[in-house]
Amino acid sequence: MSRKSWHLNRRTFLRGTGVALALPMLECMGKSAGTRPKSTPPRLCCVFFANGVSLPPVGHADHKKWNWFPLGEGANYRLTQTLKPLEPFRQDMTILGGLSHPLGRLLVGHATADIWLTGGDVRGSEYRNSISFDQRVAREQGKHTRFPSLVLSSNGGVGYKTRTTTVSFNRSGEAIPAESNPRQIFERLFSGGGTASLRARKRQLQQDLRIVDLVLEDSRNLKRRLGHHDQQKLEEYLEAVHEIERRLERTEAWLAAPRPAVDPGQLNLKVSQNSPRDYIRTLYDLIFLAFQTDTTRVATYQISQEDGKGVADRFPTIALKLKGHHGLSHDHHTPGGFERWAQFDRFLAEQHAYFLRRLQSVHEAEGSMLDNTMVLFGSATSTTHDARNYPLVLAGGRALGLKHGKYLTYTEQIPLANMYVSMLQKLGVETGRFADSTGTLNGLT
Amino acid sequence: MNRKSFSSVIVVAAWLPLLGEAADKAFQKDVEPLFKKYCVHCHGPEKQKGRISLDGLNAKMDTPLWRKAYSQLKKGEMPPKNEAQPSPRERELMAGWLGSVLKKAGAVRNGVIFRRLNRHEYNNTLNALFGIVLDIEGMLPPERVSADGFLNNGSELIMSPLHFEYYLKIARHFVDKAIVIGERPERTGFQASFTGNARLVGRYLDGRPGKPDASSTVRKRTGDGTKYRPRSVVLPPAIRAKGVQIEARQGAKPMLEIRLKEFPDEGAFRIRVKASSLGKKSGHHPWLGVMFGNHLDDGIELKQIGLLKEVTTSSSRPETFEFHGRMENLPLPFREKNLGLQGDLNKASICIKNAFEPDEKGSGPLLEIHSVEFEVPFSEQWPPKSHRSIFINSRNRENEPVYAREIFTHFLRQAYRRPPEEREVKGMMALWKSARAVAGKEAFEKSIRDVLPAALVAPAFLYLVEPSAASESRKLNNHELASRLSYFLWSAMPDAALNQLADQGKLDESALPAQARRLLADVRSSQFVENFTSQWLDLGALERVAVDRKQHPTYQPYLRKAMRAETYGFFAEILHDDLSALNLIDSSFVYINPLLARHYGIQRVRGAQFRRVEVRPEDHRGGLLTQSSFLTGHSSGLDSHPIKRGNWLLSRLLNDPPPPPPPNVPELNRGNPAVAPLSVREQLKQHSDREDCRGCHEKMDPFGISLENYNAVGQWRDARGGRKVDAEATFSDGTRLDGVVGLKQFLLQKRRDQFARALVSKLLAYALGRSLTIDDEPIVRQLVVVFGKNGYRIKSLIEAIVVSEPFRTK
Repeated sequence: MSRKSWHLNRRTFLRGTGVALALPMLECMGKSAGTRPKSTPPRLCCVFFANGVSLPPVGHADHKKWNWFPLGEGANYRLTQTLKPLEPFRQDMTILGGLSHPLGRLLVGHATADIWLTGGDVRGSEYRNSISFDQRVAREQGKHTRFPSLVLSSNGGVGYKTRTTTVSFNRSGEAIPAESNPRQIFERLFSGGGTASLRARKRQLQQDLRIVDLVLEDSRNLKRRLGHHDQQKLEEYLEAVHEIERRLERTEAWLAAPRPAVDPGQLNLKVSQNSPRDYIRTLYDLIFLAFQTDTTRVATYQISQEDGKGVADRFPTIALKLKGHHGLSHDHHTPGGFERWAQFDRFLAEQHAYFLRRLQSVHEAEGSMLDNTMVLFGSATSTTHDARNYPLVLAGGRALGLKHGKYLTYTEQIPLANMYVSMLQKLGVETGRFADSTGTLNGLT
Repeated sequence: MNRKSFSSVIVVAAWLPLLGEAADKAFQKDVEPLFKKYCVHCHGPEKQKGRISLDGLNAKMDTPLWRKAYSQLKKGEMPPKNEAQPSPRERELMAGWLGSVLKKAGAVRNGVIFRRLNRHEYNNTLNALFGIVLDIEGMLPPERVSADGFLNNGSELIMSPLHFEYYLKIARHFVDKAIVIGERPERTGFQASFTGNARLVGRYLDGRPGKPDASSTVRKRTGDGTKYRPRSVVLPPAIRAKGVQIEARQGAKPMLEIRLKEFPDEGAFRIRVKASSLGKKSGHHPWLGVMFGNHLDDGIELKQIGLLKEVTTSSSRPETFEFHGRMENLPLPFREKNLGLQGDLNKASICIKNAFEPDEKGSGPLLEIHSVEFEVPFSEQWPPKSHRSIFINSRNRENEPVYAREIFTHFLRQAYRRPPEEREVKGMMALWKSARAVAGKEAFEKSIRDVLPAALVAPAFLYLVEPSAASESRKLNNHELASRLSYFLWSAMPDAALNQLADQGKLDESALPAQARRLLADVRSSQFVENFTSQWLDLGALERVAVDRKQHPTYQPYLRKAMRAETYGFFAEILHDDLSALNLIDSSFVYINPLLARHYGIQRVRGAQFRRVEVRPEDHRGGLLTQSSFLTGHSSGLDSHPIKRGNWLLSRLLNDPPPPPPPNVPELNRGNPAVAPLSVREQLKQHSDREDCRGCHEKMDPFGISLENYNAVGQWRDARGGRKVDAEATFSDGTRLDGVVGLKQFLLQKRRDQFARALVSKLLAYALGRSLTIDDEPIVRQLVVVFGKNGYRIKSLIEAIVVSEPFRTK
């Protein structure tokens, strides 16, 4: 992870001449920061929930009412009570059945948020994951926006192996900490510049860059004096600082562009995880606003953490007076167990419908905002501990080339990563591969 | 070659690189056949009991698993009794070999790692560095918990761009507050006293017309036979609001509430309350509690300022109490310009209550409030101390470059916890020169303000840096030791005294124990008590469990807080009074406040504060196992949960965590009508009667069963669901535990060493900020001996740890 030589040169250059000259340099290095494409931007949002969904087996009294997956197949499927809230979006979404990550099937238990978007191999005692699908998109689309991506979760942070509290992983497969405080997210996205003048902000930025320079120099000096393992830790620090440096340079390019005027009055920023419905909706609102203002084009939101960890496990208790989420997922064999669990599934579908509705209500050059946004909603276990047949709903993105209106099912020969490849190609990433993909996914495009 | 032996060949192949060639031969000849014979048929390709497969292990080593295998072999727990047993010699061969492999792996993998301050230590360090208390911990992402439960484990503390972004932001935040530029800002606030009818008279300190509103929740009549007082407000003990699902947002009644429409959202403040006691008759005194509040749609969010104060003087000699804080840390109305909040939602409230815990009838000694004063920004001197500690006294104040260099040298000495290197000061100076190039009023102060954040995002500030080029260990220098010591016992940077010792090079073997004692005697050691106990004992479980409020209506957020505080206070009492740590298993006293006393059914505790209370047998209390923090945190929220409790006891108290359960095991559901009527033993039997479950459950369930007399929120019960509680448990070897008393006896008699060893291991891991390895075995053994010899006193253990080799070497 050494610095590329051009990088050093450019920094030296920046310091010598002042930042006004930085822009053309950035561009000739292949970064088109600051230039917005003419057409409506493509966007991606991935929303994850843990512990799978209620799936009363065929023949069970609750199957027809509370099976998360629809009845029937193809275009003539029938939604059960669970996904009923999504009915209005029938023509804007595809429900997918049978998909999973082949490597995920080898893991027992709870390593679901870890791999949902990565398809990575997290077996073994060392933690090794790979880049998540959203971050792959952010690498392309993030060039055009102030923030490359937005990583959110109800619990915040990164959690730990098999119980992560983030679904996003960077190029090296390291977990990206998620933000969870609505107020803080809002401030970071929309009010960073404050009221300071352009000149003052420019000065501040230059100061930031100098600080970054100084600590980088300092750390390189320190690194020589550290043992092998300490060096690895310092490397992590250096990576973070480099990324901030890149971000500062990006900000530089964005400096003159005014921050979007977003009225905090339309948001419930004081909400906490103790009011699940409002909290989840506020996080959806923040994503919506970030998309609408083209502050970012890529967002992930992890609603809950696996295995009864974290505050989000209490969501069913607070919102619906049920057991904790993980408890619900284990209780299906008891009388009424499937239904209780499904009530929470439905609750999540209601909140998700709220988000889709917001996206649908905004008209853009090519259709609605929903038509220009791919929204993936799902989990990486069908029921708890069963890492197959992921419950997945892919909505939006019709203007980007997605076809909708069906419940599609696949065999286990088809890895989930194939879907990511199909989506990547429609999101401006020219690639034929992602993780363990074997091609694209039929029926989606 | 059949499949079985093939698999062990894989094992061998993977192990080989760690051993010399001669060792290989010896292994193949003597050891490998033993593993084949005794282990692989259950933990191999065909069966993976306990989800453990020894053929999946490779040279990278899943160390915790191997350590477990090693310890189980040594203790004779594996192979299980119903399987063929190796002879003692064979056992020694296998264990000895595993031990040597682990030792090698340990040498490669471990040692104290270059560790980042966790967000709590980081916040404490900034507070100490600047002398201002800002609560910013929540701005940073939560830290990762290590496998052994700790939040200060170097390998788990990651760094990301988001971290760095916030570090820079927070650094600026602190520096901006610490350095004051310009004139002393005008003081705002109010002075208020009371006339007849409890009406507030007063004035604003900045000369604005008008006065703040006082709310009407104050009772006009005092009840209790006391006459109404014309020049004060009389507050009977406040009764907390109940029945709110999550946070009790209704506050307490009655409260004296003074509402402020205008208030700054930053700066230090002081609240002064003149109060007296009307409690002579009862022999008790009222307690004064001051809170800041923010009105929300569904009530009021309150934050207590400072500690509760006992008010003992009579009306003729009222006493003035001071409460300090900062506006930034308060819940304040969210005043965005477009929000258009109406009425009280725009106001901040200062709330005063009588915190004496009322009895069932709601009565208790009365508190009399004579006057209230609020002042912000509050500073005894101008510029404030935070400013003066950066802009130090110097003869060179007029010579900017010389003075700047002095400022940086002084600041870096504090921030880096060691004297700065010339190179580092130079770096700051270079940065300063470009910052100073901008001219203007107060340009010098501003230039310093612009530069200081650079030091706060450098590794030397954010990490505990202990350079060591080679992989071999070295002795720590004095400054590194000072940091280890203060982060261990204060979760914050060293103070002046520790710095001075380090500067003089006097922090040696004889000085360290004395310093440890000094740090422990300081109030800041509450950091150690709270961080260590909450992490070791997983008190966070209290926040995770969703307690059924219908069945347990008294379980309110303030009770939950008190549960945590009980465990902290109890541990602190044992620590500071130098009592035996065996009190953690069983004690003749508890550490509770009246709220918990009522929860536990102990009738004789009045007042407001936590204190030591001797218990009687019929109280059924004493030791950690009877504390509701543990009992509630490891319940199901509806009922007790013997498995969770048993698991906790094994993992936390005895440091012998069972492996995770196999997949697709239904949760124990005691509410299920089909299961409910069964006795707890029958229920558990139904739950874990599978062969692959039994091995672990036999070890943990009896512990949980013996605690069946405590319900979901830790209250004593003789019956459950109409049936007498059966808290008698039997281990597979026939050992019987007769309820909680039997359990405690068993632990004290049969598991004393294991418990001592567990506490030693946990404390050492916390002190070092890393997980222990096989290399630490000798020192752990040694410490256990010392611990026992010293009557299991925790202080003596801490003193032994700080002079131990791993603590003093890198």
